Amino acid sequence: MPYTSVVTARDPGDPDPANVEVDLSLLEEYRAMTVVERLRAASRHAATLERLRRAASQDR
Amino acid sequence: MPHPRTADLEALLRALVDAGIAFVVVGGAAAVIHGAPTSTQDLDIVPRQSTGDIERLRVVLEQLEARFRPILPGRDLAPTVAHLAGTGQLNLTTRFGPLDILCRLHDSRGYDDLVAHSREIVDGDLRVRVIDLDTLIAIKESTGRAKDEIIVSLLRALRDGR
Repeated sequence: MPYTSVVTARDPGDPDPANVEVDLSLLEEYRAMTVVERLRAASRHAATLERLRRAASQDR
Repeated sequence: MPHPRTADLEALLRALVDAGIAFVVVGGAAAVIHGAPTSTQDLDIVPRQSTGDIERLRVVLEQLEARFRPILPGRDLAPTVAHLAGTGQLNLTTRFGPLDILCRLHDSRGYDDLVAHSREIVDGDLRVRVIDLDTLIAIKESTGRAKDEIIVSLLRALRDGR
């Protein structure tokens, strides 16, 4: 299993500001999920990250 | 009520499928469907562009309160049939979050080019057409974007069953 990591990439000047986060520790977990479960988990994860990002930016 | 900043992928897909829209899921949501443990803030689709498809898409987008994002003072635009029939990439916000309608990919391929490189995925009552893993990897490799480079190794691992 690869090292557990969350990686965020954002390209300067990218007109689409969406980020992508990858957590390699979840590979096996996602494999075991149904497609609908994966969609729900990814949506939940994105919403949580967005809330954290906004909270962090308000703290600055 | 402001639109969510991140997509409810399942809700968006179900709305499009229930409206009878023919489309191929690409981008981060395709990676998720294939089993990649990533998150994505939006749903990217490449729609079929027959006259009937475009009108159905316009109607469902109206129901989803779709607007070009970001919505700014004096800029609150809904996508039109002309937009949907074009070749552009429409970055929209909806009541289920961001939805990107890619009339063409960055390499100019549209639905008719991609459908042969896609497969239908069925989970219960949800039936969606998704770009296949090899093609998704090739697309991500060809963009040259940092965020796509990150996910390519993960997609390769998925493809190779590691």
